[in-house]
Amino acid sequence: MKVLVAEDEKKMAALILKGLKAEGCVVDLCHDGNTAAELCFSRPYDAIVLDIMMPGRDGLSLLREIRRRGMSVPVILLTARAGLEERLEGLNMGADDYLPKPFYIEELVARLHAISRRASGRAESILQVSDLTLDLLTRQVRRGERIIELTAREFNLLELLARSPGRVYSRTMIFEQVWDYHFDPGTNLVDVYIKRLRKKVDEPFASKLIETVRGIGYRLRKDEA
Amino acid sequence: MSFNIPFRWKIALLLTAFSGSLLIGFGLVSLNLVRWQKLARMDTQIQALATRLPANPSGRGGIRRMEQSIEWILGGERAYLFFLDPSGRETFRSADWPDEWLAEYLVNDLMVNPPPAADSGTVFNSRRGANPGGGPGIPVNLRFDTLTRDQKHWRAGAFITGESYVWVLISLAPLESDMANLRARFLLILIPALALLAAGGWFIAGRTLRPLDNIASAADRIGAGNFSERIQRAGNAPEIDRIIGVLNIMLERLENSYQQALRFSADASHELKTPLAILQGTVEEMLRASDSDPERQQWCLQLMEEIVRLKRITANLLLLARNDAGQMVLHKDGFDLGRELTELVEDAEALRDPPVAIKLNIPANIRLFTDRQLFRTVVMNLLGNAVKYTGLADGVTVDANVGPSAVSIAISNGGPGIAAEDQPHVFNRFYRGRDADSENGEGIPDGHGLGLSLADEMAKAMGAHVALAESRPGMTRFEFTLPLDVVERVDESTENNPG
Repeated sequence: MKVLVAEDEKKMAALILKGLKAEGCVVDLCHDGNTAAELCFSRPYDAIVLDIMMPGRDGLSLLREIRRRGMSVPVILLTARAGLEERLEGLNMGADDYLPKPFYIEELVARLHAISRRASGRAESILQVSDLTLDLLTRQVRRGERIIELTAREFNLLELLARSPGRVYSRTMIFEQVWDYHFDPGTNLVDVYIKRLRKKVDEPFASKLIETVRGIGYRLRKDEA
Repeated sequence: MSFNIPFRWKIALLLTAFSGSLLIGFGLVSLNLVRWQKLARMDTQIQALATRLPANPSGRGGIRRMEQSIEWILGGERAYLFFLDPSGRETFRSADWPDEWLAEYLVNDLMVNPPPAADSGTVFNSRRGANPGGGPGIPVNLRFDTLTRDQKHWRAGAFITGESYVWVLISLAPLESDMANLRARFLLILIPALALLAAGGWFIAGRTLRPLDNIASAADRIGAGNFSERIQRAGNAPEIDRIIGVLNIMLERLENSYQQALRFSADASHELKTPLAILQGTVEEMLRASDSDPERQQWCLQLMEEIVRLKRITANLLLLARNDAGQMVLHKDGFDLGRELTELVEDAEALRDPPVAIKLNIPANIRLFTDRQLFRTVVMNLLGNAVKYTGLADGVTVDANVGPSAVSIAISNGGPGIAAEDQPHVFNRFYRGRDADSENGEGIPDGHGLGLSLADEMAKAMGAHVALAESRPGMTRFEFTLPLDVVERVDESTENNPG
């Protein structure tokens, strides 16, 4: 996948570059709006990541220009500006997705994959970890042939873990990404939900998928393969 | 309600009362002056006549003439004469003398104040002061007195002429009727004058208060969020201009801090989030690179933990700042109240270990249409607070109700209650009561003191409000009240469904 990343904050840009390259993407990097415009109008990209606040030309006007020219390349907007999140959601700017800073690079990668899947029409909406299958479209979970009933919250939690098997998540990281309200929960809440998830996903089966990393958090066991 | 007269009325009334009493006082003084002057003129006339009175009362014809000329001078008013010899014996009295009592009184009066020798030049010590002077035999040094008998008033003048003491008695009835006439006219003028004064007072009060009205309506506009508004100077009222000047300076400061709040929510959010994003991305990268090194992984996760905490506080503060700056945008969405609350209650129960029992009483099938994330934020922060402070045995109760004018969600918990002196401050940012670290909250780390304040302000942003309904030992109840127009639909057909 060929991706253009336009981000003026050089350290941030380097992190995104590294994260995308680790996923096997080919990345073009630029730090201002004008270069981004030159690049995206002269080369074909599978996806574009645009920071909104950039010197030269801001991301929104560039996005409008891209859409005005009839280009349908998927675009993800990045923003650190308060209030803009709402506006982006409210206005149909022609962006396929947006991410408020600070975000997890992993989240950006997941969303890039998701929108490029949508753009290419391929229905790669299945997450598979050993014999556990999550269908992101129908929100159905199976282990082997058995269907597992999960609540919305449990599904989101499992999806987070299944996105990167082997990655450890601390409880606060999990809360932050699965619960969507402003609240300071402490850590017990996540433990309770992991317990429930284990009861449904692991208890009836011989091999246990959800692992506790002592003193750190939780992860989904990586395939042996 | 207290007795509260509008200021304009007060000014008009006070003005009328003050100038009215001045007017009445002035009128009374004038009336008395007029009366006094009339009496003085009468006295002068009597004095003038006295010089022409015959020395001896035996000359009856002369006396009669005298009487007539007095009457003529007085404009037809009857005058009576009364002569006494030095021993106090009556020697003459006008025909048709009006009252025997008056005669006796006059005789007595002379006995009490015996006259000085006729040739000494002074006659009778007047109560108003003697008037020395005048040659012997010439009747000067008159003494005057006003007598009242049977509600009739008389003017009496006494003097010595020759061998006789003489009283002249004149009825004051015409004078009194003149005065009554004058008083009536005065009253007739007084009433419209008072009305005029009241109207004038009303008008002046209105004019005086107009700049205050301007201040009030300007303050109204400013309250509506237009901080660039300034109050116009009244121009001709330096006292009010001073107030307006002070208010305008205050407004300028207010506008500045408001602008700062606006800038803060926009810039600070960028300034804070960019380094946080880099920090988080870096730690995430380190975490990925340390898959095979558990110790390094633990360091990284500890770092990430703190980053997430920082992010949460930053996000909450920015949310509050944005709300302060009036930049909140609501994303309204329809959702089922029961399902939403059930899910939140499930989360809240899990906040403590062992779990706190939460009882949920809620009418079925109510759909709300409002900002869902804000709704969750409000309810979850209230629930979190309740779960944290309740006694394990007491649990928490959530009662949702659709009333005639509002939707209310009451969240009650047991526990020690909030100290009376803390109650007014529970919604203040970063406020934590004395018992914030009570043993009840074990297992739940301390919040950063933003939870209730966040609930309060987000509720306001939704057009709803949160209040501490009551708090005493064993019972603390918060109420989250939403306006009725957030109710999308109450499905009555399935109201009796269990669950």
